[in-house]
Amino acid sequence: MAFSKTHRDARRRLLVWARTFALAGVLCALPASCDSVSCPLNNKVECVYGFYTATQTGEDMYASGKAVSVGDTITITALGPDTVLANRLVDKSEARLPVSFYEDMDVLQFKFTDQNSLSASDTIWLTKTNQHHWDDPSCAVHIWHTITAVRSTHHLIDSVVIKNREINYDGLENLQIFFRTSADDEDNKDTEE
Amino acid sequence: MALLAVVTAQPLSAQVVAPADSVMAPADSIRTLGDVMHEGAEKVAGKHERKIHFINGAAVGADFVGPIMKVLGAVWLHMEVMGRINILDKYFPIAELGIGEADREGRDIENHFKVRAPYFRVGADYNFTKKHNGNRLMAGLRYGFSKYTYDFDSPEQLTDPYWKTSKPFELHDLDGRCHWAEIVFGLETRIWTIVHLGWDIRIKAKLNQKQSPIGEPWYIPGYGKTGGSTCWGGSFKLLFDI
Repeated sequence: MAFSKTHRDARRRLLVWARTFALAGVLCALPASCDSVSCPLNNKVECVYGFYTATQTGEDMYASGKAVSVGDTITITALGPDTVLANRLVDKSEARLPVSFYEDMDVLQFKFTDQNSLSASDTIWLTKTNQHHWDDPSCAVHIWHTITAVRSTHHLIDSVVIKNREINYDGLENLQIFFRTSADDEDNKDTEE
Repeated sequence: MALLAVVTAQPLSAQVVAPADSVMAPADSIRTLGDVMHEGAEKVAGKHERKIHFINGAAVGADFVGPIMKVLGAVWLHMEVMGRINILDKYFPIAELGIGEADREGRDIENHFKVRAPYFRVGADYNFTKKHNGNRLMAGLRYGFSKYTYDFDSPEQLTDPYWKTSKPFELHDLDGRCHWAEIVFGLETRIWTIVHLGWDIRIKAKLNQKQSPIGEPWYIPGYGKTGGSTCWGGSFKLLFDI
């Protein structure tokens, strides 16, 4: 009787050990099995410029601005490296442009050419900060940006407004470019007269 | 068998059982037999159950999933020790102190993430079992905290394809801290007089996290891999009553 009880106890202990070690194995295997990589599929970092016309003047202009497709051909060049970022865009209501990784300010030239081959250019100065960003050691590192200021010349561009300062993967509109309209020009002429 | 030994050890007079219908039977002789049987039963039960005090002792222990993971070459792991107090064999206030580390390289990219920092947790477990034999079914809560610095770098330079500029990518000593809560469920058994073996699984949720704006650490010591607001963990521990 004593032997069988001891035997039973020993068997029970063995069972406990076997179970606990099996569980330890599972616990150790869990972290390895969960070691998956989740790099975002949408990982383009671009500054989104929306094109608008100002229908009114004054403070209401930005509220009532309407998105437009620019009929002229637009070529956008990064001054400095003289790299063409967008070549001959036609009938576009926005432009998605890369941003420099390390510069504090990007200088972009927007060249507009109409059907009669008449050209006009405007320059935009985009001041920003640059931050490294990563999602996982197995994913590529990207540079995200925060827009701190923007200004432009005013040949065809009336004004540039910051809509969303953060330039990252989300693809939201960052800057709104308001173009002069013919009505504005006539108003200006009237004023000049 | 133990009961028999106890009974036979009594004086012969105490073992005489009077007829139940005898009014002349001495009352103390019946009581004596009852006492004897009760004592015997208590001694048998006492082999498996302890007398419960308010402070019923304390225990120290260690989790040995971490060392096993280290031997197996895991890219992240934690090693921790713990101490707890046993109140009424029901409530177990516990403190856990450990070191978490991760040293990971990207698979196709040679990015390298590294962190190594201490962490601590405090909380309590509740024992659901009614028997006091050392086998316990536990559930509990924890509050965890870790303050750490982490490195992220790459041997390759990061090149801007449009502006044609390159810079080395080396970010060191990025500060971070994290507060989190855990819900713990586990089992524990006494395998020898003062030795307990147990395991638990836990779900963890971040309460507050401060990180470098550059990027979230891939692993937070004590919490585990990041990438969501919650994560799972577990431990496999050996505890010694003191």
